[in-house]
Amino acid sequence: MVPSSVGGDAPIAELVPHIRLRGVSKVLRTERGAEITALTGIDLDIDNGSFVAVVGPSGCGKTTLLNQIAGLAEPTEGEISVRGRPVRGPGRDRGMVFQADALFFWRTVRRNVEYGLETQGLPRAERKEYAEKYLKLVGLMEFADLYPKELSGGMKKRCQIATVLANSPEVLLMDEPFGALDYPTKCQLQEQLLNILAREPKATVFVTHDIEEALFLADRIVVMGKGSIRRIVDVPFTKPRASDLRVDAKFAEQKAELWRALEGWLTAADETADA
Amino acid sequence: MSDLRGLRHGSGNRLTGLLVAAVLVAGWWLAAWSVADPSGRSSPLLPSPADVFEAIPRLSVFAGPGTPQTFGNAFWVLLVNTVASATTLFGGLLCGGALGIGLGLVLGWNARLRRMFEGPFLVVRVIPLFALLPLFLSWFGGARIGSVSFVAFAVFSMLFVNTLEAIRNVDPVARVFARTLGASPLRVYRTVVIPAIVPELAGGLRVVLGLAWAILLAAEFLAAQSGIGRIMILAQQYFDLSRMILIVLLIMLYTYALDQVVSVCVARITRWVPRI
Ligand SMILES: Nc1ncnc2c1ncn2[C@@H]1O[C@H](COP(=O)(O)OP(=O)(O)OP(=O)(O)O)[C@@H](O)[C@H]1O
Ligand SMILES: [Mg+2]
Repeated sequence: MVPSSVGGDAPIAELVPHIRLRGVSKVLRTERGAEITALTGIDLDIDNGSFVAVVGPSGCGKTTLLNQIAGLAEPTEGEISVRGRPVRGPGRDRGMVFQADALFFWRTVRRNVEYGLETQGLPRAERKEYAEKYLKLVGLMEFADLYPKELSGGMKKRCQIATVLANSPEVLLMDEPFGALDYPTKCQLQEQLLNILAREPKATVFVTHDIEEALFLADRIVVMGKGSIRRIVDVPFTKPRASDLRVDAKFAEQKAELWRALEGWLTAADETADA
Repeated sequence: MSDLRGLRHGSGNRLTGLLVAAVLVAGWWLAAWSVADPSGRSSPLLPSPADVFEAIPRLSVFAGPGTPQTFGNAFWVLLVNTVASATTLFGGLLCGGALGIGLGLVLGWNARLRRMFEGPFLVVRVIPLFALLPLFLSWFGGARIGSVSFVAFAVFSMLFVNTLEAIRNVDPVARVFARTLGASPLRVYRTVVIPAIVPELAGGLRVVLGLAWAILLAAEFLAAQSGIGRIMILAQQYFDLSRMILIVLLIMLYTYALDQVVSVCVARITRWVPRI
């Protein structure tokens, strides 16, 4: 019942989340009856403690991919399993930070963060303790007793992040979680996220449009285009990563290289796909 | 800044309200005076505010023939009939509301269930309420249970539709988010769907309350042994417009008070609703 790693230090052996996608395709149907192929033949393995960033142009299927792993929709074709068990519907083991505002507007910020803990049946005192830990982490402690309508866009996002993290899922799915934040706050949260993941290893899939963010956080970067994986790039930096990695010459070099390569991968593959 | 503006706005509204009321009363007085006969006696068709005030003790008659005409007895008559009407109103609201919201919540739980039963139940939408009144009278005669069931039926039909609609409007992202946080479907219903529909239900309830009050009066006009609607009809039988106007003013006061109380409650329970 108790979140496995909140407060504890040692990674627990039986938690070996391992996400495995095999030939995952998803066809979506529009209101007008047209079919959109949002994903085609996705193969991907993600180990526990491994951080995968997903980048790619808007509309290429990143959110759709996360939805499949979260169990919010079933793939049209292919198999997804987490820790060897096929995914059937959503569950507390796979936490998701939504691109949209996912908040319980009738609850205060604090009670939002406590939602998952309540579901687990934690007693009040513990709920309060965990909630406050994550509220502090995202810098919302002084806004704990406000309603979500009284928060700014970025604060709403941070509230959602705290809600998901407080629930300590084994798999962390994040859809552009830091997109709405200013640069310093973003950097700070990136570092805190890495700290948490160092203490509580999870398999993380992190969607972003920010190459620098992907390089700083991820072990691997998945480049997507038009519903398929175009490239998987291994990030050469070891963990733990300190914040001064951002100003490292090697970091800048990697970033530039990735930038140059990115457009080529996407257009070349699109041409072959269109041909 | 915004608080200040809100305050000024609020008191401005109240001032305008008072002004409008004053103008209306003055207009009434003027009209009554213009149709009064030369000796100064008002026309029986349009009593002046003073006539209406003087008519108050005459309400005592409704406590039974021969009752002394005093302000005290008049007050007693109003109290007894108000209690009778209020009991019917709240009895009907409670029964109809519990049934309508309850059934809405049961059907809203499951899409299959909803598709199966929604059609037949939505028939209540096209039933002309007031046309049913004679039916209820035939079934229950003048018994109070008749007006209670009629009010209950009206409230039921409106809140049932309202509840289903509100459930359909719940933000799917919040529902799905709760599921990814480990909540079971039943828990999501209890902790997401139900709180999320409260504002829409409260809005519906407010409309229903106004309507239920009108429906109750209609039912009492036609049947009941007691109640505000009943003494209105009695006053009409005496062809005493002063007493009729008195009762209309009383009804206005009740409607206003009820709406004030409800709007304060609604504002309190919907304070979390985001508005731009
Ligand atoms: N509910 C839906 N019904 C039909 N088509 C959809 C639906 N949601 C998304 N799509 C389509 O699926 C494709 C992929 O959408 P998705 O939301 O996964 O993109 P994305 O990569 O997350 O984009 P962004 O970076 O803009 O968030 C798009 O072409 C979109 O039109
Ligand atoms: Mg998206």
